[in-house]
Amino acid sequence: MKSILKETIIIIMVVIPIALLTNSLRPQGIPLFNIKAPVLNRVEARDSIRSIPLERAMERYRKGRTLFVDTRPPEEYLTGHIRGALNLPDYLFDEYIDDFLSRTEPDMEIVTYCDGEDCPLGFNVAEKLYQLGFERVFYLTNGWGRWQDNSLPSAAGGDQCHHEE
Amino acid sequence: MKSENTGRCDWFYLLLRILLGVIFIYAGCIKLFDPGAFAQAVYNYKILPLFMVNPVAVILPWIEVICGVFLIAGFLTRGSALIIDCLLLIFVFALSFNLYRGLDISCGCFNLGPVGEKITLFTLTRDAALLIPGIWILVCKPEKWSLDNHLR
Repeated sequence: MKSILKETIIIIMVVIPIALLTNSLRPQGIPLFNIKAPVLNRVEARDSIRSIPLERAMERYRKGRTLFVDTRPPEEYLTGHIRGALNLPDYLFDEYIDDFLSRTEPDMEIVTYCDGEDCPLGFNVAEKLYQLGFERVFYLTNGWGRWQDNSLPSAAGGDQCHHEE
Repeated sequence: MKSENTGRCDWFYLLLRILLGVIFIYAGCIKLFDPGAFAQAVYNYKILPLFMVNPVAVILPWIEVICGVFLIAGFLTRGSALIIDCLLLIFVFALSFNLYRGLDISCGCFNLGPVGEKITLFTLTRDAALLIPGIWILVCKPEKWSLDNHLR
């Protein structure tokens, strides 16, 4: 048993430096401690962000003054999304936010969404956007799933996931 | 006393090592290619605190790949098997917990793409089943087709 534990420790001691080093060197590396997610006014943000029913989201979509934000990973966005939605993945928020801000106005009304009843990404991104000063932010629970169920306008592809014109 | 049974056992042991090794190398490589997507998959499980998501997404694939390679080579075999068994137990726990909670998320096991498989009883059973060769390798002594045996 002792020798097994010794082997285990050796492996872990070898693996961790390799993993950290390669992550820091390769272009696809991710920030190790990506905890830039807002902590200030978190409680306030949680109270201020509301879920929007599908019917109201559809009304807003038809009026064309609301920005829809797809919070799923870029690959999923490219496969299909609400037509006109920008892609702002939750886990790439810090990387994409500058580009996102350059395309939006702070007084814009925003509806975030992801896929699945329990998917937290829509709410998370809504919360982060609220922290950045967007005051009219809603999230559409299971937005992509319900959008498809109702055969509402959708699109596929996009220019490398940041947005679609 | 080298019996025919021992010979058969050697082959079986080698086969299990290769099987589990290949599975873990494959699973690890997929995650290595897209650490961002894997971080998202880990995050979606909603089990780890935020500050642990990215470190786990960076380190776990390497553990899978290196333990897989070691298993095939028969180097530090039982240590690798112990780590893999622990990982499998953690996966089984995470899958069970989220199935119980009813979370509709991707497994993040062998596919991180947009059509990645969802967590289901099948994915849970598959991970639990992999524990059988994992435990077998852990409790067996390294046999002749292993580096451990030659280095001893």
